[in-house]
Amino acid sequence: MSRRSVRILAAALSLTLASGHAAVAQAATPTVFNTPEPSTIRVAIRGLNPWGEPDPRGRVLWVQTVPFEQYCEDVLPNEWVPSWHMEALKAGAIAVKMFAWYHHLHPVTIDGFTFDVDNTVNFQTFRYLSRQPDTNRAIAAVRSYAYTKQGGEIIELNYRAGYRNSPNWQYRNAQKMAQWGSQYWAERGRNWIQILQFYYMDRQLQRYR
Amino acid sequence: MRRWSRHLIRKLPSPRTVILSAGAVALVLWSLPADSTPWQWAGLHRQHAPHSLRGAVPTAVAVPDAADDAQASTSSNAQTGAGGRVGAHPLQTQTMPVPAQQPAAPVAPNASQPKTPAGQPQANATTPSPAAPGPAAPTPSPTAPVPGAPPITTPGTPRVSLPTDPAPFSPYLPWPTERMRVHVIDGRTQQPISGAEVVLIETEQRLTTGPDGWTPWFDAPIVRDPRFRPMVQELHGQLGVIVYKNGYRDAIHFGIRVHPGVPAETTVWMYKIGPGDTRIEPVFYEEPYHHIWLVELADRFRSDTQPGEGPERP
Repeated sequence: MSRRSVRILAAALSLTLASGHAAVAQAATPTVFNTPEPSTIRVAIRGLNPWGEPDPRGRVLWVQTVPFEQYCEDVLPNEWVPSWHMEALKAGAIAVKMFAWYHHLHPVTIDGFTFDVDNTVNFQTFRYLSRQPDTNRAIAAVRSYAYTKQGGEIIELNYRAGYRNSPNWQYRNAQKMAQWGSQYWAERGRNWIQILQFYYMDRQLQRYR
Repeated sequence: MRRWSRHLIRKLPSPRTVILSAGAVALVLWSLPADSTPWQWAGLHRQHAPHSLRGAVPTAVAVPDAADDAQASTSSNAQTGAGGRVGAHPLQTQTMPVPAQQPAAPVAPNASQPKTPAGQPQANATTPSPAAPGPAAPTPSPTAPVPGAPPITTPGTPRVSLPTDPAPFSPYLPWPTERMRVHVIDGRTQQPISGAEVVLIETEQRLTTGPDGWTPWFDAPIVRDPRFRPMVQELHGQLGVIVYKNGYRDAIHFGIRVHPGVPAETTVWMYKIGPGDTRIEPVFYEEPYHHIWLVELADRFRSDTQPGEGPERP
């Protein structure tokens, strides 16, 4: 093999590696612009504890594939309270969607089952066919929006219960939304974007459809 | 003689003591009600000594006394159809005059509202509503004793509402209601089941599903567990339904969430009876508590010395 051929081969190889790195880098940072919203999501159904509730430490019984929007509809009334203010529900709808979207891109394998989320507070509380009219309306209202890092990177929007009648400032410092805090701000006239901005700093609202 | 009289005078109280004593007696007499009876004295005492039972459960059934039976029977005929307030004694309604249990939620007018004292006519006692259940329903007269009822309240029983509770629980007020409908589907095929009979346990309402498996919208009571009310009130009411359909196992569904101010929907699964089914019993499902409320309940009683998992951290 001539020296010239070797040089060409080396160049081709480096080009291939470079493009591979670029592809890996691109896959590592999915954004709302290069990643479509999932059509379905795999939900691991865990065994019930003796009093009939899904047990976060329970065995995975099976994996249920659910349409993505239906999954969000069956989570929101179990994470937020349907009688809460509509703006709090909309903020919750965004958080539920982005959390699920992120985990759809980062599936896990446990006990031989590969899934995106489970049906307990390990991820988000999911009860099949538990959707309610008001929470459905909130999800429909924010269907076109995502809340991402600057530049559109899809991130896990975390949230915790928080405390009633409190702005829950400590959650803001931890980049988590307080569920009770969302209701607190909505009752005081903040809309869902302002609530998201309060708890998730340096994030951006994106319209993706 | 003089010595005896001097001794007597020394034994008698001074005029100043007599005046002070008379004043004290007059003050006590003035403070008593004009038509006081031992029963009402006990009621008076009950009003002023309630605060030791913080967080206790209110007694659900009151006792009618014989003196009021005659009065109550004159106004009870219009109220019997609601199946509601058995033993809503006028004295009880006087000592527990509380506002509606959920002031923000709509309250259906019905015959189960507390009786007005002394048999006064009640404005909206003519339309019995099944959506406002009472603690006991089956007796035709609201003043008749209930078989198997809880222990009878005695006049000296302390009142149990909290002084700081803005709307203490009262079993003598109608439940607030909210719109609700039930969807019945086949648990295996997920197809809607039409013609299924849905019974709301708390009110004995009966509804039938249409071709799409849905019942019509109906008024459902928002029934919260009074055990938790003085501490951490539940975020939603809970109901139970039983669904019947020929060829299917009965389905019992408890813990259906009814939120104040928003309409509610729920889905009930039914399972067809197959040829291999020899022992056929109802299928039971209970919705779990909302975990937001469980977090709040656990935090409510957490102590500094034994914090367990500790307060929630972000």
